[in-house]
Amino acid sequence: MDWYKRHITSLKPVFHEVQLQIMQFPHPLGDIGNRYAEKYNPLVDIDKGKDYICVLLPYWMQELVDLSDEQCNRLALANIYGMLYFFILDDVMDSTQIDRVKSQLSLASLLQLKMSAVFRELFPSDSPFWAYYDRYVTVWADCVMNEDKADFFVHNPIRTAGKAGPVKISAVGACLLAGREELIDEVGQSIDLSLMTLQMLDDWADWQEDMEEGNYNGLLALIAFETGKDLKSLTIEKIKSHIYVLGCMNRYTDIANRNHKSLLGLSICIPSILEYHDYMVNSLREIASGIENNKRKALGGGINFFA
Amino acid sequence: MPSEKELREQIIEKAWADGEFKQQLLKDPKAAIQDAFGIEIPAEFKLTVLEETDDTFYLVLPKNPDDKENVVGEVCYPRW
Repeated sequence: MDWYKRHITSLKPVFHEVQLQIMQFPHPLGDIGNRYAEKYNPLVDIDKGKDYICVLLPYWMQELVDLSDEQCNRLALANIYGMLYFFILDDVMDSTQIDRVKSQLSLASLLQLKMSAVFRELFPSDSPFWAYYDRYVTVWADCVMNEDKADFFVHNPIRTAGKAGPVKISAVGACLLAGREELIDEVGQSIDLSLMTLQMLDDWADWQEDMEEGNYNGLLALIAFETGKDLKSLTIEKIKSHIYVLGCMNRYTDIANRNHKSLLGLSICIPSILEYHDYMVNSLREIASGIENNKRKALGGGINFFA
Repeated sequence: MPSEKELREQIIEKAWADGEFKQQLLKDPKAAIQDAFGIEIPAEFKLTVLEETDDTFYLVLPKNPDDKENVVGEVCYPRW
């Protein structure tokens, strides 16, 4: 995880500033906000970090464009506020705890203000930055509302990246600050591929919870497509059969493999994004091969599990 | 410790190649496996060994492997 560990020193003061700013929110949102931020702080439990691409993207962009450390720090700061804002909206959308909605949405609004304040310092109102931001948030909204009905993962899987699309705004900012607007398109493609694979990992981790709560999930969508049946008609046992007996994780992982090939085929290269994506694809490969090994052992009977 | 070949296959091969081991395996399978492979099967597990003949076969139906806990692999589950 060099793509992460080499930037820990830069991240510490940025997260410290986030904590200081959130502490100034009206009571009790300062405490609530910092407790929330701490859950997603990749500096806590460093070896099993939680959120990477959002906070690290500005620093990875230094591998492609000429950005000062200070500019990276400001973009990372804005992205952290944005990350927390969109996570809260995500939580509210999925939540059954109505009593927390008031504090969550108040906190989200304040975090959005903080994010916008940082970006306004860097980009005047007539900067093309704001058109990109508008676009990414619009795509995000379309994604959260329609990924289910349009079955994104089956019909156009790159669209699943849209749910995390706002994170790209820091990369757009990096390109504009460096005077390299012409790179934005391919940089956006490389990040979209990473976000799609990231979502695939998330969907593997959460498929049971998503099935219980009726949330859209790419892995479940793939299985429903392969069975030719409506997901609502499939039981958990049927899904488990597809995962643990019928090898669907191999086909799922192949999709991530193809993403990596596409990433390598782009004309721009951000080494940390390649390393990060490789890390995620390897994770999926390990899961798929772990399942196959387990199945092979099981075929020989319970005695094999004592070896 | 047994190598890559699954334990079941190793036990069967040894029983084919070693008559004494085979007799012990049929009589007291846990002791035979402990002696030959150094593997202790805990008391709460039952183990039965059956020998096929020219006209009698056995088809064992193992437990369904739909168990996430048995899947090996260190995975990071980052959000964005």
